[in-house]
This record gives sequence, structure tokens and C-alpha cells, in this order.
Amino acid sequence: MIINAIVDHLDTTLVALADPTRRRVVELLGSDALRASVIAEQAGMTPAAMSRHLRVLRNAGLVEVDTPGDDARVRVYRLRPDRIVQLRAWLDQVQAFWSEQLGAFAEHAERRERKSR
Amino acid sequence: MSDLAAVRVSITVKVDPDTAFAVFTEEIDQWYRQGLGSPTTLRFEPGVGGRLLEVGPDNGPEEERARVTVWEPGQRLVFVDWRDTEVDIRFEAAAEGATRVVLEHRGLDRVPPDVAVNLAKYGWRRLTQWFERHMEERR
Repeated sequence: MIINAIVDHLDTTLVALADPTRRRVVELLGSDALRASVIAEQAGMTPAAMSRHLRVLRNAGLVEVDTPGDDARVRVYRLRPDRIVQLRAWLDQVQAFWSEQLGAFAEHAERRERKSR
Repeated sequence: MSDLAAVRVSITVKVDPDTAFAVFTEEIDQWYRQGLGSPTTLRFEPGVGGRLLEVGPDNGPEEERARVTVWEPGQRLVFVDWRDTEVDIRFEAAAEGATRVVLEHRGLDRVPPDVAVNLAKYGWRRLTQWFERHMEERR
């Protein structure tokens, strides 16, 4: 059940992240929730162009909109605390990490073996 | 379900299993990629109950990163890290005197929520970098 959900999510997640601007937005929101105007400014885009990207990210379930204060006009975007998406992202990170480490290990072991011959 | 929170990576290295195990443990500091310019060194204390230590410059403060639970030279190494996740490495004899190293990192869902929040934030950054590389390689 969960696996299917992950696979479904993964497709839309990857499509949403295939665009460099949207990857930048995800990185920005990784440190804090931000207003759309601030996101646009930091990404060097017009608010109109940015709103298209934010819509794609929302539809993919990667970000959500929140009104943190009393003023309903103040809306911030944040990464969605979605357990599955986070877990998937994290597993990918761990996997990439170990691939790199094992590659470094094999390189070292083989270089050393050649020297000792 | 437990497999869902695990990753598995393998590689074939052209040395025999005894050498692979020895290099993996004794020379970890020579191959393990820490952050660029990291001043600390890594060291395994051999045997079950031994620690994986990160040692500060000039034999400075030692920090325990993991503890060994299985130590079978030439065959298998398992250690549990500070987040209570488990890394299991098998050294399997392959053709022509090579070794297939299979690494499984398990229990990634056991991380406490406060730690996971930070890791997830960090994870996002890593994910986007990883994805970028992946797309470049596919071109």
C-alpha cells in the first residue's frame, strides 16, 4: 500500500523537480517557510512567473500554503511535512551517500593492491 | 515493512574478501569521504563492541559515531550508529578473486522525529543535488 503511494508520489515528485527553478524553490523552503513574493525575489523571477511554479509544486504535494498569523492575507509556502515524500527523499540521499562511499572504497582498495604487486 | 526503511548498495572490488574487509576497517580514514577539508580522522576499534571513532586534529577529542555488533573478518561487519540505525556490510567472494561488497543500511524509520526533521531538511538539499547530477549523466 505504502509502496504504491511512494511510486505514485515519486513520478509527480520527479516531474515537479525536473525544473531547476522548482528545485531552487524546494531548497529555499528547506530552511524556512516563505511568502511567494520573497521566493520570487530570491529566485530572481517575477511573481507571476513564480506563481506558475508554485502551483506545480503544490499539485505535486511538495509544498503547501499556510496563513500563520491573524492576517489571512499573509500566506507562506512551506515544504509539506509528508512522511512518505520525506522518507523517499531521505532514502535516496542515503543511497547516493553510500554509493559514493563504496565507490571511494573500491578505488582505494584497488589502487593499493596494484601498488603492492 | 522494515525493508521500506532500508537502502542497499553493492559494488565489486578486485581484491579478495580478507583484503577487502581489512581495507574497509583498518584504512577507513584513507577512503571514506568526509566533508572537504574535514580536520578529523576516522578509526575502527576492532572486534564486537568496538567503536567507530571520529578523532579531532592532533589526537584531539574522540567522538563515538557507531558501535560494532558483528565483526567477522573477510565476511561481515555490522555497526549501529548514534541514531540507532544499522549498517550491515557483507563481503562475498566473487569470480577471479574479487569481492562483492553488499551494504545495507536499515532502520531509517527509527530516527526520532526531531532528528528526522533536521535530516529531512538536509535531505532535500542532497536530493536536489543528486537529481541534478542524475539528469546531467543521462544527457
